[in-house]
Amino acid sequence: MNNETNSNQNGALILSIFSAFALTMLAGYVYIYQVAPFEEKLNNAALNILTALAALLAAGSASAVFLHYHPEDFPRKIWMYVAFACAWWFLAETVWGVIAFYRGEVASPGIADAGWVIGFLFFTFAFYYQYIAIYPEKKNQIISVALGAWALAIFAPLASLLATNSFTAEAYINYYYPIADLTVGIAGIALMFVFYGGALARPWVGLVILGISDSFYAWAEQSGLYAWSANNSNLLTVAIDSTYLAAYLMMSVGFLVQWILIHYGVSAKR
Amino acid sequence: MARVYSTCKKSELSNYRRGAIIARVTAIFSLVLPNEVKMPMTSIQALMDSYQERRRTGVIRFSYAMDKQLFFIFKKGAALSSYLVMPERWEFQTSEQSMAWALAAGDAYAQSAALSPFGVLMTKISIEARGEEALTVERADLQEYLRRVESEMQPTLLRLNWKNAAAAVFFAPNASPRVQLFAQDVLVSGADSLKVLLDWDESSCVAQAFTPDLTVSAWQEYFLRSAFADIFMSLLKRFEILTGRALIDSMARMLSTFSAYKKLNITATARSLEDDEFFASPQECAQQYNALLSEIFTRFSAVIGPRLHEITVREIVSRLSPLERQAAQDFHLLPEGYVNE
Repeated sequence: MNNETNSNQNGALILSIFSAFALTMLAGYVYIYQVAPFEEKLNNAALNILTALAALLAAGSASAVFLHYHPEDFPRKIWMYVAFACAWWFLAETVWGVIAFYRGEVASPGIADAGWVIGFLFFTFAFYYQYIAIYPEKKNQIISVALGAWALAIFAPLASLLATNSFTAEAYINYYYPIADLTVGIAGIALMFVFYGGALARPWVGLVILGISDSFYAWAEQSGLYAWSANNSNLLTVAIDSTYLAAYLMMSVGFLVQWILIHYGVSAKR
Repeated sequence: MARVYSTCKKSELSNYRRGAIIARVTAIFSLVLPNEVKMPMTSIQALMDSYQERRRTGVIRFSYAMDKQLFFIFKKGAALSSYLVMPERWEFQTSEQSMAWALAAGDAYAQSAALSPFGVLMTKISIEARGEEALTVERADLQEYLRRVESEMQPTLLRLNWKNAAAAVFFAPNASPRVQLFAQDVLVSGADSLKVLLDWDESSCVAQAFTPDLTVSAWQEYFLRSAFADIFMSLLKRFEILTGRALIDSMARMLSTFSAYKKLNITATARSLEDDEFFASPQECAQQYNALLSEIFTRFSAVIGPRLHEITVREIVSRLSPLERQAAQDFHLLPEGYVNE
């Protein structure tokens, strides 16, 4: 019983330190956005660095979970794809930040978009294996739903833009993201529903919020409401970008909780 | 007089297995072996005391005139229960009642065996249950007879009595037979015991089969034990797919820790469950397993969520054998709030 208590304490300590760090990052992000303490370029760079760092934390904690599993463990596959997806999103955030630093604005579609799309692809595999673990007898339905979701995300914006004679690559990618985000969000919410009340629901919370936040970003960017600089930001932009950063941080906290769970074992209180 | 196995046709044998009427109640150690000597009353008390002092688990049988026998079941030195067995019937007695009866009855043939907990359960079944008609099995036919009983794919206890030895073999589907052979004051059990039994150098034995009967307490206990093991191992298997090996190890450790806390001899690893327990009654058995399942369910539920957990438990319970499910339902094996219907 003593070992269990020590394990619980160690797990709680790691989680507390990590959460405090994440909250500090979020507070710093909002502060820079609101106060803009540096010159414009530096403010924007600092914000983008924080976002990339949050994505890195998510990729790092997902990788820790992946590496903790035994090679024969089924969930290892799930977490391998989650880690890949997060790593690609981290790359995308970094590339996006670098381009934004040098050019002020980032053209869409651009090289960073490739990272996000590949990330979505890996999340699809992660969701697929997670659902297979829950409903092994429904493999065919799960494959159908996954393919259907991708078909929707690819062809719905295409059909819509072609029908209205307004197709451009930029418009297409801006319509693609909300649908892809929505799909990921729904898949995540469904998992939260399945695991409702259990520790396995936690890793998916951040992903759902990220999907919602990214949808708002795509909408704000498309409608011209998105402010590209911290120095002339509006409340909507601060809310969208802060939620986006918070979602990455929540993802990384959720993944860390998963790591603590498998590293320190099960506790009734956890 | 027992019928001879080799003269029974296959169909006839099946009929015997289904509707046999037993001539007399017999138990694994009911046979008085030729080397037994009558034990004076003072030695009877000393034998009982030595079981207590050495904290032994097993059975002591006293045999008297008129085919009366007294069985004491010991668990870690404590007399857990006792049976007064007479031709045609048996009585469950408190240990004090039996001790008083034994002291009043005087000298007796005594036989004692330190048994594994499952060995004790086998003994309890053979005392409490009505066996099927006894058959005489020639040595040459013994292997085939055992194979035949095993192939029936239902839990079956087989009692075999030679002139100089007695054995019990328990067959359960998808498990190796458990054997206890008692001969010339030596108990043989473990991996090689089946071979020793098959090679036993006597021309024939009398075999009696005990098939499941949920009106018998010992069978009820067996099916509760078996249902508990099936539920726990199925949960682990399902849990492993969702959470991986590390958490399974943690769950197994948790069960071992909790059962030690409850002073139960039940340990688990990710791949096996060692249940070295037996109980005074099926009610106590269900109560203890219920407490363990309650703890396990709380932890599983905390990880995979109550909704998925309940669906999983329901699915596992639906896959139990009908007799396991019946026992689980009758004795409320599952914690409150879970399917017991």
